[in-house]
Amino acid sequence: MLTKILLITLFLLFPLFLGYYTTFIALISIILGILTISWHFMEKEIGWVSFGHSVPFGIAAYLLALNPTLLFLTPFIFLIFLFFSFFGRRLFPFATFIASIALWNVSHYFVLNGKGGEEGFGVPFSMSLGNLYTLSMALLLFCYVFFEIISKSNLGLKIKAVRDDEIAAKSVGIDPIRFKIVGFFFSTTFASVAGVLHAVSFSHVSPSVFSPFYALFPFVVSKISFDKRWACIVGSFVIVSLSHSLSAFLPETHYILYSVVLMMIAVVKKNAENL
Amino acid sequence: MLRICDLSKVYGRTVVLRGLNLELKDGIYCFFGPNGSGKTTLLRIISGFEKPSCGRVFFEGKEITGLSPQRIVKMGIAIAFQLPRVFWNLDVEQNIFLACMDKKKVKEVVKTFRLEEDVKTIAKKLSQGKIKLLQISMSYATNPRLLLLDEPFAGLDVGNVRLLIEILKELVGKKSMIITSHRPKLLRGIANKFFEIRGGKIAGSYENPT
Repeated sequence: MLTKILLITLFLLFPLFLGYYTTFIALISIILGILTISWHFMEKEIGWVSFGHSVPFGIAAYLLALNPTLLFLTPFIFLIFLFFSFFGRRLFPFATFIASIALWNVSHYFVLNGKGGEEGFGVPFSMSLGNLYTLSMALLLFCYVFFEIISKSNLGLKIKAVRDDEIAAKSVGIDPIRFKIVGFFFSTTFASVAGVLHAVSFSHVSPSVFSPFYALFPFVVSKISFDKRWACIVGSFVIVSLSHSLSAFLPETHYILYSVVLMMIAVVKKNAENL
Repeated sequence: MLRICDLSKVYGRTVVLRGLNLELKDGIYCFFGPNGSGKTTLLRIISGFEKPSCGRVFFEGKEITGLSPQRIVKMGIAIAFQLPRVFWNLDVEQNIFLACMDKKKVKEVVKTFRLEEDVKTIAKKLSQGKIKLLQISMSYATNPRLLLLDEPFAGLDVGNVRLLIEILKELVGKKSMIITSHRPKLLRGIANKFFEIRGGKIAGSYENPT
């Protein structure tokens, strides 16, 4: 694990020496890398596929913009998300995705003291790009190490056991709901951290934080990362860089990229099955 | 050890158990009977995976009716299902470790259930017989006072049946067990008492016919 951490650190340090624009793009990649790793844990370890990770991400960003002291509410965001996920998916499929789309639309009408709405809110404080990059990099590394350790711990083993078979888990005395909630809490907390960093990096929060872009991004990156946690970071850099470099010629390129990636995965998987 | 009072279970219009009364002391018991006679339902109710329509279950003097399966495991009752439920993407060692959270115990259980060669094999890559053994070993690893085995011989080839009988013989006197089976003859020399279940009731019982 130490070698991986060292390589990731070197990889993350590199953009700091490539000028303002590149560093900013790398910063966005890092933030979305945190979101992706948190999502990856939820999908691979908890066995819970959700397209609603933009919910904790967006709510945390909004809380920071409204009043930084409200950030103490961040850990409770997971409760809201848990509610959406737990009860919503019992009622209809893609409940969390629909919830994130609903929040995206509702947030357009969220106005406070004459501010907000479509234009969103300004974040009351800022940081230099270098400092913010270093902080985000440290948080990404922490996020990576945290999930690696959890994954290899007894707690992680129990979470994986619940993912594999809830009835088997119950039959050896493991409470599935308890371990799902714990895993859920870890995952959404890091999604919230990514949301806060996103708000600080743009000094502004708008309804776009709930957009399908943030809901689908972790899923797509996780898919091209072939289930490797470290590859989620590289994948995040690849997708963000491609989106930004191509958007000059073609707006909304990221959605085209998503479609291409998903179609390619489907083709590769189908061919792999036929081999 | 186990007391069952007026236990009934109804699914829609189908009555599976009809006012079952039973008192079992430490030992090994075999429940046999035709399909749908209520053997599996009885084990599922004792282990907490099913709630009875009426009636009560007591284990070592404490009522366990309606408690969650996790709680019942902690009180000392473990079940191995007819269709194995294991952690498919984890290896044999991890599967057993999850049941006892004790590495020394894992070694002991692996040896008892002859799984030494498969310790690092992922559960989904095991043969049917080994999966069955793994599941029983997991239940055993929880260190239960009472082990419930639902049709442990179902789907096993001759070699694995022999192996399982050999293992069960080793457990005689060490663990109390309730074993359901279509083939009670296999449990001669192992079970202390045999109960025939028919139509959700105890139709008859006899001591070990050695």
